[in-house]
Amino acid sequence: METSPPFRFLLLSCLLSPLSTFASLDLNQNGQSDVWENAFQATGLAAEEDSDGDGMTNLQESIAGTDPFDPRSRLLPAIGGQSGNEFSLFSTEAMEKEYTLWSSPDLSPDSWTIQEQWIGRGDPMEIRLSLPDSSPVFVRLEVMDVDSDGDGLSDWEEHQLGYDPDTANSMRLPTHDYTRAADSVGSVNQVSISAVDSTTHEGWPDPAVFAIRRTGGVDALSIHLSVTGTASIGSDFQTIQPVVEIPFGSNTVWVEIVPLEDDLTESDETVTLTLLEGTHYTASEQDAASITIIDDSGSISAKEAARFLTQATFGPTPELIQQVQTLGIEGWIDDQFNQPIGLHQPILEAIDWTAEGGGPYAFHKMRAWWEQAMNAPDPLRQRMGFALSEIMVISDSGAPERTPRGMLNYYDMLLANSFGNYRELIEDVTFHPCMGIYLSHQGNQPPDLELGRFPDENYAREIMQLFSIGLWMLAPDGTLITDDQNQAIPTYDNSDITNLARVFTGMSWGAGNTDVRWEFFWPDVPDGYNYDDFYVSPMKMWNGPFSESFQHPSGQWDTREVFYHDQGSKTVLDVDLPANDPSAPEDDYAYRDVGRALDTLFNHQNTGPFISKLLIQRLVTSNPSPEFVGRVASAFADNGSGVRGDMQAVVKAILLDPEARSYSVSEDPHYGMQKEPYLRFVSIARAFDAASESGIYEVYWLNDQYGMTPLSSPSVFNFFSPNYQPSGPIKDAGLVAPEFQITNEVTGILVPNHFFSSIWYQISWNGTHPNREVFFDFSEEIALIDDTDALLEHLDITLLHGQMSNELRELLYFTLTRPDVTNQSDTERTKLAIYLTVSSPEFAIMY
Amino acid sequence: MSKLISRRKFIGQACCSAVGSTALFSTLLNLRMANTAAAQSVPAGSDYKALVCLFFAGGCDSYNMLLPYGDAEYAEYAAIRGDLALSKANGEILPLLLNQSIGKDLGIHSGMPEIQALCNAGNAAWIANVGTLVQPTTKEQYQAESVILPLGLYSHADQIRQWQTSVPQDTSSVGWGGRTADLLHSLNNNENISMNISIAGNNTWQSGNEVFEYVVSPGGSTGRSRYEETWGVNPAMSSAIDSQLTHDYQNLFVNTFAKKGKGAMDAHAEFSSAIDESATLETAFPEDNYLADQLRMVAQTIQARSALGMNRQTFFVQVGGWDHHDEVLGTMGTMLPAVSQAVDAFYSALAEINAQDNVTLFTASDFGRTLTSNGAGSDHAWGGNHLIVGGAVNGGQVYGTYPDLYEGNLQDTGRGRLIPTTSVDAYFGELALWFGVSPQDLPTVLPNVTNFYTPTAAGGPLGFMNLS
Repeated sequence: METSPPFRFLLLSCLLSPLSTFASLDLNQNGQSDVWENAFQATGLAAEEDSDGDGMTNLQESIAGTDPFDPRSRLLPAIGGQSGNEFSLFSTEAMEKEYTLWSSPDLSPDSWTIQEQWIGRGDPMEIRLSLPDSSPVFVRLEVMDVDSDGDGLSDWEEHQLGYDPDTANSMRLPTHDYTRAADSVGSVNQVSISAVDSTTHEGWPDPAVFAIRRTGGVDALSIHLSVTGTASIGSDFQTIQPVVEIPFGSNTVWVEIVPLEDDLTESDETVTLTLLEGTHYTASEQDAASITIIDDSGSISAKEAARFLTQATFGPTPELIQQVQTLGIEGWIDDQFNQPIGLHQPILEAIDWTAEGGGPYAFHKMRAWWEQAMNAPDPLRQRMGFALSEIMVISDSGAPERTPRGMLNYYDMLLANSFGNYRELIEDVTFHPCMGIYLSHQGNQPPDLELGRFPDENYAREIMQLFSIGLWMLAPDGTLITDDQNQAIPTYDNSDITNLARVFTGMSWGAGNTDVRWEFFWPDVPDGYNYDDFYVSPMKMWNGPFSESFQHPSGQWDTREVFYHDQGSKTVLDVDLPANDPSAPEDDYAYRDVGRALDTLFNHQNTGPFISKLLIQRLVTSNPSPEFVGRVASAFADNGSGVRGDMQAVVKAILLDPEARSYSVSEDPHYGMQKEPYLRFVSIARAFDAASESGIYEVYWLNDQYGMTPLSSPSVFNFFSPNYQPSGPIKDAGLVAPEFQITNEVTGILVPNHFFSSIWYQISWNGTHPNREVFFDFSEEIALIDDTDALLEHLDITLLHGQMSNELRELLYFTLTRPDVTNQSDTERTKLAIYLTVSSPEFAIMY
Repeated sequence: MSKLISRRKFIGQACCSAVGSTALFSTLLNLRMANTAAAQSVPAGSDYKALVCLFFAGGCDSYNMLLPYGDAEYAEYAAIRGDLALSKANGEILPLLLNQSIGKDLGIHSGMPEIQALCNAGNAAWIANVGTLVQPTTKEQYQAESVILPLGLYSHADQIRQWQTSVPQDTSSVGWGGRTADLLHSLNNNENISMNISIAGNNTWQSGNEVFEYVVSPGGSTGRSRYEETWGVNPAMSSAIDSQLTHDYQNLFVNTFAKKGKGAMDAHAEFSSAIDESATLETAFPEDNYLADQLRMVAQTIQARSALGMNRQTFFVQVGGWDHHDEVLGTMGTMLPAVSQAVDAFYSALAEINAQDNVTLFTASDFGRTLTSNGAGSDHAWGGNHLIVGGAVNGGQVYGTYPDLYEGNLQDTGRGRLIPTTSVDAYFGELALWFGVSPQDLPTVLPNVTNFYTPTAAGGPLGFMNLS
């Protein structure tokens, strides 16, 4: 038998924390929380009245944390959503209040049982009830305040004020939360205005920012402003409102001045904001402030220059910013092309190893690396060379570890080719002895079926997969080409590898004589020869024929003709590489065979987009648009003068592209890249002139902290994959973020800890040679410490190219003006400001 | 929408019966449990199990790790390996005593006497010629390309990923350890620390759709400098760090970076207190042995399993440097003893805390290597041999099919690159079943497994685990 249940239950309205012990700040002792009174501007409402006519008295609303002037904000539930036996109750849930749902079959005092108890999260409350077929049900909804930390403020009050309900000293302040709240509630609002980001530029619309701050109260305040100055509102900068509100519980509101570009050539113009009279506040002495709008007829903005240098170098310095502003971005790049190469190997060679007590050891490479990272005349080339060292990888966690000189010689080779031609680069990489031992093609021999010996395939594979064409066929814009089944198409198969491995045979030490067979294995060198020199001159080709002794199975010795470079034809990527015809041998066949193979890779359709995308990811952004990749790849294909592979054209195409240069890209939440952790440290060092008295940089052994150090990749695949996707929103958006592959629970702690020890103590120690200890120089910052806004503006330009968010700036301002910080030394406070800036998530990302 | 649903309080038929207080949190917890893959894979009870993946990065030349010992087999081996062959005459091979003959006498590298002992005692077993496959593959099919082959065969990056995803036909980076954890993490009583712990950095194997790896170093976890100090500027500094890392940022990269930083701090707080609470292991681990350092941390974490509230855990440890295009004999001669000693100490530590039957260690690597020599080393190949260690292993046996080694044999695609005779799916399927994945859920963890094994069949795919 079916019974439909009409309203067979009665709803009791609820609440009334029956206990008077619930926590509350009530200085005016009217039974209503002072925080609630401030939050809803409801001070002094009559307790028994119902100001908004929603059926709940003002006292009840104060207990429920609801708005006494909004009838939709009430605890008393509305009934709705009936479907069969199911009903919904709708109510307003406040944050951090405790709710209890009781039910009873008959209203008798002992029959009430708790059905549900929860802590409010501020969401719309919907309670679903499923009724039995017969018998009535009575429910009651109760709300209670909770004081989790026992500090005398309810959790709801603490949430409203932005405090932490779980600790009596929120933000670890020395002041107890109750005292802090009581002081605020009982004070008069005093308001000041500061220009916290005091310039903006017509050509770079990063806004100038005023901060209007109050001390004293917590209520919402409407601040009235007058706008004066030489700039015209609405034509020189976007209109701003004459009245701004500091929300309840906040202490700051920002006014941003966004410049409007015009075609006029003007002098710099100013905007001055002055605080006007208003209710609930008085203006402090600091009642006016000005910012400057710089005209774009002169040099580019310092912020724009700093952002460009963050991409194009190991980090901006005041001198470089000035240079870029003087020369313009393209002019500066052209100037960099003509700078001498900041070579690394000579720095290592100049070290007196006897005085040093031995060496060179692997770590000594970093001495040269740091000296050039800090001081080289060609910072753009240094940045490019490092990017190439992460693509055409050699590493001292492999065979080259034995030769620091050789590795720096390789690095210098990358630098020398950074502004050259990719074809030359790939050839120099192929013939470099450190690559020869790292990917083991040095001493590689043709197949010998009798011995069951085959050429080493290592280099053949990696030069294709990593240094030139990649695994999958690419369109000119770097996107995957798919077949008719929507599958990616491999660029090469195993036969390409075995064929190419035969090309890379006959290559050995440059110190040897290629006319002498056995010097392929071990060059004949004079007495006293430094065998480490094997690693600093390019490898050579031993072709043959050579005469070799061998033993017949019968035991009889005989001689035969051998070649160390494979003489047969090879087919690589559908290109036939001819055999060496014994009747008409080609001059320099072995070299030319390798050259033809490298030409094949160089001319492959993938090489431009593949290399272009990798370089964009190293310098500018993790997820360039196909159009961006396409533009750079097209510069690779033709520099405008019909030359393919011109690296200068590629560098310019990357750094001058609108996707690198325009201000608006940084507003796209999908744009940007994590600055490589180690390079973040280098940029801090550059920003604060890290140096030792002797000029020597002993910055060694940081691989564990950073998950990377130059020339120390765990494998030829670099420290991270260009395709790495961290879990979460980046992966969900289908994006990659390579550097996040080394961002984990270990480096997430050790990287900021190393920043910490470097800032608070020093960067390197040396008990024997104290003049080699490397320190930061914070003198410029310490001089600013008593003007917090000026210090933060300086750090913004120095470290964040002017893009410090208002929230970060305000957090730092709050932190530096806390009573337990202002009583510390200038040095401590300065270090704190710097540390919190460089360990901030904003500093970690380039966008 | 989902937010509203999550906020609904479902109060069902219990409404009018007298029930005690029901916390909202338990309601949510129950909902999540119900959502976890229909809870098929949540076995009853609170028994503890852990899987430890030991990855040989670079492609281990494993035909010099598990190799022929009998005269006929050895001759075949010596012929194809040429200058890479271990010398039986010089005692470079230790014989294995198998429970049951497999028709071939096999031995292991003489640098691994501890493993030999574990194997002969029945606590270790081998899988022969295992590798990435999409479906069973013969040489004819390989040559004719008439079956789907793994993408990027013989390439490090691809094969490392595929050994960890067990899905060789696509480029997904969700690992089978991660998918397993997606199904089973609700068995644990800890929402802050992942059940997948890596001592060797981020990896694909432990990365799931919901569950991701927690990375600690061999020394354990570390906290931010002076974070707990109460003097000077430190309280202000710590508070500002908290604010920076909990703020919601618009830019995805900034936001992800902040969340990672916060996660690192929270996990450290909980992990370090659990480790500190648990007794220190007494077993001596070999020194100057990076694998031993990692495995000691694994054992110490297993020791802290109750404090961490863990019933199921996976661990990832790694030894690199196996890409022996050169000097394969000499280098393996020093690397394999380090592995053998570290694994042996790990097994002893498990015995010390009476967890040896609850923990299974298995090895994996990019690929096997060419049987033929390139003059001093070997090149990238395909199938290889692997080791399983633990009290729940049906040890003292070689599972799968140990292939013929003569050049041009039925598995040889050239140069002694062997087509695997056992798929990684069979290998991992057995481990997943032991770990507690239900037969019904096995294809969720290992999408290709039904190409090699019927999950509802009695017994595991290979039989090397005690599944009872």
